[in-house]
Amino acid sequence: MIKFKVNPLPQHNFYDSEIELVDRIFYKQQQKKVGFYRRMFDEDFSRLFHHSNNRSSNLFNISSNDDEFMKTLFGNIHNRRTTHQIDEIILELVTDIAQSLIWYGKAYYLLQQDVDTNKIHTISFSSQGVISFFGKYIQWVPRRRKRHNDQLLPREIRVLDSKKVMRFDMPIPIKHMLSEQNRTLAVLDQHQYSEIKFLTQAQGDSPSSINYFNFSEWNDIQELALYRATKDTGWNCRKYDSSKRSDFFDCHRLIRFRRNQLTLRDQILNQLSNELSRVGKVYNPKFSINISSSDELPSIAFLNELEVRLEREDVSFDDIIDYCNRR
Amino acid sequence: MKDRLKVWGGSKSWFWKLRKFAGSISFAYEKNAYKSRVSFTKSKASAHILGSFTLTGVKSLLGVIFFLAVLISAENYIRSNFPFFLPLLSTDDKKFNIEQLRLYAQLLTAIFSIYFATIGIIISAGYTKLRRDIILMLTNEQVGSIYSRVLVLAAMFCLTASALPMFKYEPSLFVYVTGTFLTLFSALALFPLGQRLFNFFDLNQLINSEIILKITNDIAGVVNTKNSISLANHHSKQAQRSLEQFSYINECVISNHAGLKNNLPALTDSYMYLLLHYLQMKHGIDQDSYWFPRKNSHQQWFLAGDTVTSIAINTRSQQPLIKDKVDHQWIENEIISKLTGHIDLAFQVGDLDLALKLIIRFSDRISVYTTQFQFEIGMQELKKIKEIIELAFSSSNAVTDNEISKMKITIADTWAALGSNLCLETLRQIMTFDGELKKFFEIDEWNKQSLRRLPPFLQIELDFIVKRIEFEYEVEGARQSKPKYLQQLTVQILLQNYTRILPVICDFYQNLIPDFVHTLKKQEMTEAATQVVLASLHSHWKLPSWLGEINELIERYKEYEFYAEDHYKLPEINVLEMIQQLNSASESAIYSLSDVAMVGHIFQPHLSDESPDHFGQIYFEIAEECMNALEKNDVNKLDKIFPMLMKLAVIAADLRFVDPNLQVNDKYRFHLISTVINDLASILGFSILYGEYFDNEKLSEHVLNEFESFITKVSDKQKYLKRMLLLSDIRSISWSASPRSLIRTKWQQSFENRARNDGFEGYMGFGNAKQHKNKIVRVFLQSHSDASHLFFAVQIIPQIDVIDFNIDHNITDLARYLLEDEDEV
Repeated sequence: MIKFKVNPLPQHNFYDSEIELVDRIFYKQQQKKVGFYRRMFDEDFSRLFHHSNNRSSNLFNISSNDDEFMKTLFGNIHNRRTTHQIDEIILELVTDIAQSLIWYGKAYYLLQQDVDTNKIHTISFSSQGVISFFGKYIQWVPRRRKRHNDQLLPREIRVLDSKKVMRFDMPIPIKHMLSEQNRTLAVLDQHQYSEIKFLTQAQGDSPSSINYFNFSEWNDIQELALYRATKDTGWNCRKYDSSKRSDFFDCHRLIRFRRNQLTLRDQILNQLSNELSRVGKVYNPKFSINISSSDELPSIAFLNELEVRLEREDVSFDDIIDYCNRR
Repeated sequence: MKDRLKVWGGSKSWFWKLRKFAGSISFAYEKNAYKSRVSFTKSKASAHILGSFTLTGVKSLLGVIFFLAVLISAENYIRSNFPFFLPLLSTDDKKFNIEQLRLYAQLLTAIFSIYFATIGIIISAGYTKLRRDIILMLTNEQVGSIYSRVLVLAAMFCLTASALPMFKYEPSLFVYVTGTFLTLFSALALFPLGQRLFNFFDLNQLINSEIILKITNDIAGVVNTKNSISLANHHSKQAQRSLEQFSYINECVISNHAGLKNNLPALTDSYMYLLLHYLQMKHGIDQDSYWFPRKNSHQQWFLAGDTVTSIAINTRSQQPLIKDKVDHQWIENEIISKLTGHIDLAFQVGDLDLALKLIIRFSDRISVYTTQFQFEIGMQELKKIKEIIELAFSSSNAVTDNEISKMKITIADTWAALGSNLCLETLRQIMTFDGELKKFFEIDEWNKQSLRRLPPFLQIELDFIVKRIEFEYEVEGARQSKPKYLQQLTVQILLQNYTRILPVICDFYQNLIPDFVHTLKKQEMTEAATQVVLASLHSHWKLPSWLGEINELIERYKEYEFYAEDHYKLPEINVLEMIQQLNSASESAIYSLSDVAMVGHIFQPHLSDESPDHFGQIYFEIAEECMNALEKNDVNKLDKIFPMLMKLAVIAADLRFVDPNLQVNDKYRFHLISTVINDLASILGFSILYGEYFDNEKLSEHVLNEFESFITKVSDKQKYLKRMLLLSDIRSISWSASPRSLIRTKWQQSFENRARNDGFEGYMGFGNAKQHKNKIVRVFLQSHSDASHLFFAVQIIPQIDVIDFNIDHNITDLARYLLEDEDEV
């Protein structure tokens, strides 16, 4: 069944849906179990803004030619936290987008007009099964059951109203970097506890069985692979106790990690401005908006400067750590 | 990609089997290389002996050949001239030659069996005394030596030669000749063989020729960086075994008390050679090498770190929390316990001479200890020696034997001198090492190879830096740690070491020496105690300035403090406080010198120049210290030490220099007595003067009372005072210089300089200066008088009833001025 200009299915519940072979073309098989290191990395990397208790109101520079409309746009974004400050809303939005970018590589939002109240809502929907095709967005919905009465609904193809869909992509360089790293992390996660296999049990015929396994060597291989894989992203692997790492090593990694995060943040903000300007034109043909990070947030330029100063031994480690841990 | 493959491979068992296989192949290769190397060194040594042996053999053979040539030419001469004298060589003769060869063979085998039998008899005689492996080593050394091998070779050669006819083969003349030569050669070998046989149980020789050689080989094997871990482990085991054999032999040798006088120094020398050799090679050994034995140490769960605890809890095992602790000092500790044991033994058998000889050998170790920054080992050894000495002195009965007591003094003195030497040399090393460190920083290379240039303790402590940099290369492909950071870490570790060393040095002078002195005093060895104190005064003089320099050095090191984070802070060393402590230690040393209970022996007449003159040194020291106390306005100190000076001066003036046994001419005798009286009078005069100058009556009060109480006890006071006055004026007798006039002039100038600096003019002034408010000071500064004159004028003149003799006009003038009213002057 093909439906045109309808709303997408907002949240899939995959346990209710019955994915068949045909659906597999559009549905990437999702890993049920997320790896240990991968999970930690995703968590750390998606935390683009460090937590802070004092809520600041000018984290972003927002310039728009229709402030009223902008406020209605942001007023009804469905976020996890309820807040009315636009900066906090944008912050939450960017964090959400970043999370789904890191996990799915894409993020989709839809502007939805409530017919009764005539309010505009911005809702997110899953990127699973969404295909973009010459500027059109098509959502493939598999067979699924209704929850309350167990009625089987048929397979659908929903062609979405592309004027109201906002789409966010992972920047290409970061995508490449992450996929390279995640491949190694996946291998590492797969073999994380494989040393237990080598703990041989004494058996009747061989009370002292020979074991060629060398734990320290195995550990070194794992560690080296982990650190080499995370070289470009600069992730610290949540290992804070290794005596092998000098402060320079840590600081360089921290700067690199933070810089990647900031690149992602700025790209998302950039895409957000473009997409908002585009979808806003449905309601106000001249609408345009531009969002960028303000000086209260750390900047890439300053991080680059810090890196150069660190090379020259011109800055203390505490300064670097403090700056990187700003919001 | 490579990493992913490796991680994947790491989860397969064939990967580990393959690794193990590759490892065993390389190990087999290394094993063979090692074996061939060992046999090569052995054969090299044998070839060396053979070479020298052949040389001596050839030398003596030349003589034999010459002799033979003479004989043969004589024979030829006889043959040609008188042919009927000698028959031609017939088949019988050839037969005879073979017979002869057979005889040689028999002879040689007989010698050999006798040799073995002798060894057997000797061994059976001493078999029960020694351990099996030592006997094995002894016989190996005997039978395996190149001499006995020559013997065997010759015997074999002759045997085969005599067996040749059996195979229808005539031994030619050459074979005969060679056989003869070899037999001759073995005859030569008999002498060294027999010589060694007589010293079969000389274990000292075994130590030097076998054990030390083995251990040094093992050390060289470990230092060689190409060798693998297992080989290093093997060397460590071998060295431990050899050391254990060494200590067994040590036990064997010292259990026989008869030969200790020769055996102990030899043993000490062997151990010391080993220690010094090892300390010089030690920095070449990899810090993680299995050369250093491991001990288990258990980490605490909460402190062990996240990775370790997570591994441990995943496997529910204690194993990850066990860390190997490396014992870097095992050989040193072993050897030092043996060395101090030797000293102890020498004391136990009551041979002080031997003990002294052994203690003095410590001085050879000092230079190595200091250059390698092994101060703690040295100090540990010194403390042990101190305990041994104290124990030995307390257990030996109070002997009145002059020789023995002298010996004891020398031993005590030597110990203190060695300790001072170690401390001072260490301080010097701290200062010179600064230059090396600067060079190291300039090169800015941080790897295992470059660290070898540093002292061993820094190599151990800086190991983590090297590991970090290697890790950076591995992961990031470049060195990230920058020089300033590394330099700060290095300096931090260095200063941490200094914070350990410097207080120990301070403690040595502050506690260890006074403690030692105290023990000696308790054992009524006051002379030894005094000697130790007097000998330490030089170090007390030296130390403050040296420590001052080190303070500057440490201040300079603060330049390296670049990162202000807490855990990079350089440790604070309060050198100035140490200097203070040392000064107070030096004060108390002086106080102990003015303690009669301690220095009682100096009141006995002493005219020998075999031992240091305590009387004179104490007199000079205390006089100087009295002046110091006066200049610092230190009443307390002056009151403490002046009585001793007073006693010494009186003894010198009234007894010692008057004694006719003192063989000096009369004029000089007068000089001596006069100088002592002048010293006493000067110090009393200065006490009056400084007392008035500082407006501190107490400064002179006690001192003058001391003098008064003495003078009232003298039987004829007037006569004594007159003698003092007359003798003080030595110019009336002689114009030659008084023995201590330079010192007194210095005192005088010091006072005048002080007055001038404070703005009070002397007689050379131009009148534009201040006038001191005190009359005595004013008058003294205006006059040309000495402080002694002041004392006589103020204290003595009023007490003399009738002046019927000539008094120095300086004294009388001064007395008059003081009586006069100020304005009339």
